[in-house]
Amino acid sequence: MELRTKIAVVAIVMALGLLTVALDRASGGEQVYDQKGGPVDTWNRPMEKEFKVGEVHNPLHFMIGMAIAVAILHLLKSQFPKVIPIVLVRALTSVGVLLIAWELIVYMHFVRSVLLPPPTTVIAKLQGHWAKHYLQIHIIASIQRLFIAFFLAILTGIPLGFLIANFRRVSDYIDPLLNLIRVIPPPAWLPFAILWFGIGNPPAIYIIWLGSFFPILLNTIRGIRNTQQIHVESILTLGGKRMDVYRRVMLPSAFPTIFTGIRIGFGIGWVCLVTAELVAVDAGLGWMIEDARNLLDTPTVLGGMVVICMLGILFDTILRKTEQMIVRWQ
Amino acid sequence: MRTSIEENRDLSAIKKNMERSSTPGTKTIHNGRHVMEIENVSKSFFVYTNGGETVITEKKRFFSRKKPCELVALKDVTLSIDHGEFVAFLGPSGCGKSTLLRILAGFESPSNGMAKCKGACIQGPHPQRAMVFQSERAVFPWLTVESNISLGPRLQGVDSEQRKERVAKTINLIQLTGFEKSYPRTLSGGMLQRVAVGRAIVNHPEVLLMDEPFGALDAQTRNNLQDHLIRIWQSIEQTIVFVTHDIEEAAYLANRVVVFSARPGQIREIVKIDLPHPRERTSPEFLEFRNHLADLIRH
Repeated sequence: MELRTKIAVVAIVMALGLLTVALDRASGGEQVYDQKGGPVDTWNRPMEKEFKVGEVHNPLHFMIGMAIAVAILHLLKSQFPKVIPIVLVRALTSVGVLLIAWELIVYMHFVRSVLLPPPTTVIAKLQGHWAKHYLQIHIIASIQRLFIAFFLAILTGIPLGFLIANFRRVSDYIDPLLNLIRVIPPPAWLPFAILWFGIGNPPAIYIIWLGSFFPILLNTIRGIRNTQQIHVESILTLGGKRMDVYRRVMLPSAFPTIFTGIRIGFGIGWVCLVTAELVAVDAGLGWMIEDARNLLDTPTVLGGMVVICMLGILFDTILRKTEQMIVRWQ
Repeated sequence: MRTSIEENRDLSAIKKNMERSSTPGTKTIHNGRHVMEIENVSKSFFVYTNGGETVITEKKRFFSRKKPCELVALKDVTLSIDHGEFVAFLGPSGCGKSTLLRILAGFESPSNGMAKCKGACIQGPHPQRAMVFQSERAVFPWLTVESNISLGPRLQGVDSEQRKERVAKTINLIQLTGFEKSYPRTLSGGMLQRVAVGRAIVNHPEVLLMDEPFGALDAQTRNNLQDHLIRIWQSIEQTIVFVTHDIEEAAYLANRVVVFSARPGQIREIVKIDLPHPRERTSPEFLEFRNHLADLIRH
């Protein structure tokens, strides 16, 4: 690995750690967990009073504001055509129009607000949760178990894939077992995961690990098997030994494929995270949604979905940028 | 038909002037000058066809009921290569010249006979016998030009200062100054082959083995690279073994052209070309050598 690659990896890990710490601070720090490891504040859900539509944010102001924002964006585009990419303008326009339409159909009483909470209510609800450190707890809980499971998947998937791709005997014995387990959707393991590990982080981590492990493993195998013979022969003729073939040829040439596996694995892990949290845990964004559903607190349900969406976009962007940074040679 | 006979008659006078070994395979001289010795090397493969599947193996299968088809790639090849010589293997495609080069590189072992480098039997690849491949994709795409070239010394454990010096010298020699930090993706095919040559010579190998290195390039680039290679060869006094199917290329580059006959691959004749470099592609002497080689290939 080149120095630049190492620095990039270390920087990303440190950034993620800092993010976790920052969120931890934001949520009130040490008070988050009690001695049993369960979050304390979870049960103090802020539900003392119901929001009514338009109580916190005026829907009319919201819709007019969105329309003005979209208009200003187009104005800017016409003034500085080189600075703002047209793709961005179109994307933001369609999102803005969606939000306005969504607010409007509730405002005009076409749909009951409990069935489709409008954006203003969702935002107000999320603000309330954030102020009470309720949202942060769940975000941290989710991110923590996601990262643990995801790093476990990388740590197990890449070495195992490496062994399977390089050693015929390992592949012959292990492949059939893996293929049997691979076709079982990870959430189907939930009952056993809970029986084995109890309610809490371990079953969720197990499910997420299972979801992200296989894409990483399969892509590692594919990448290493696709190593070009001519590259192997090149390093041998330059004086490389067996280890150099593994380290200096197979790993870098398989890296783009492995990284694709990591990104797919992260996506599936993200799905498994929410699925597992709906059932197997007592904190996390999935749990927050499920809890709010029980209380018919639909703005919180939708708010949770919005947060999940935002975090998903954030992590995928981070992974994509990392890939571009490391695989600059392609 | 008539013209070819006439040509032959014209050539007979020149043939007398040419120095060439009479019948190959009769003598091997053991002295210190030889870098490589090839003694009675044969190589055959066994081809099994099971239904639609074709399997090529190096060894005969013991428990196979089907009789394999034996494919003799090389038969009784004996040759010695001196230090500082530029030898070209010339022959039609499928004549085993590449197989012989791969045996010299150590990627394959002969079925019979022995290949030696500096008196020691060749066992496996070694940086003393650096190979330049046909495809320019052999250059590692994930390393910069500089890192590609410095990889060899790094694997040998050369310390970083000496490595830097050697890499700089090599980049200068292959005339890629200014492209040190470029990735192979951004270079042209000709430049990539120069990187491949640089990557091989930076190790100061005993022999440089080249497997049709300019075969995939256009004529203009190929001519440039041939001149380039000659310059490099003259400046570092390297022994080069060069495989090609291009008659003009062989005549232009080599001191000695080993002409192979098609399957089974045998040495038909060894032609010594003693024209000084740089050679003129249109001079009568050059054309005579070229026509002579073409005749050998044709029959």
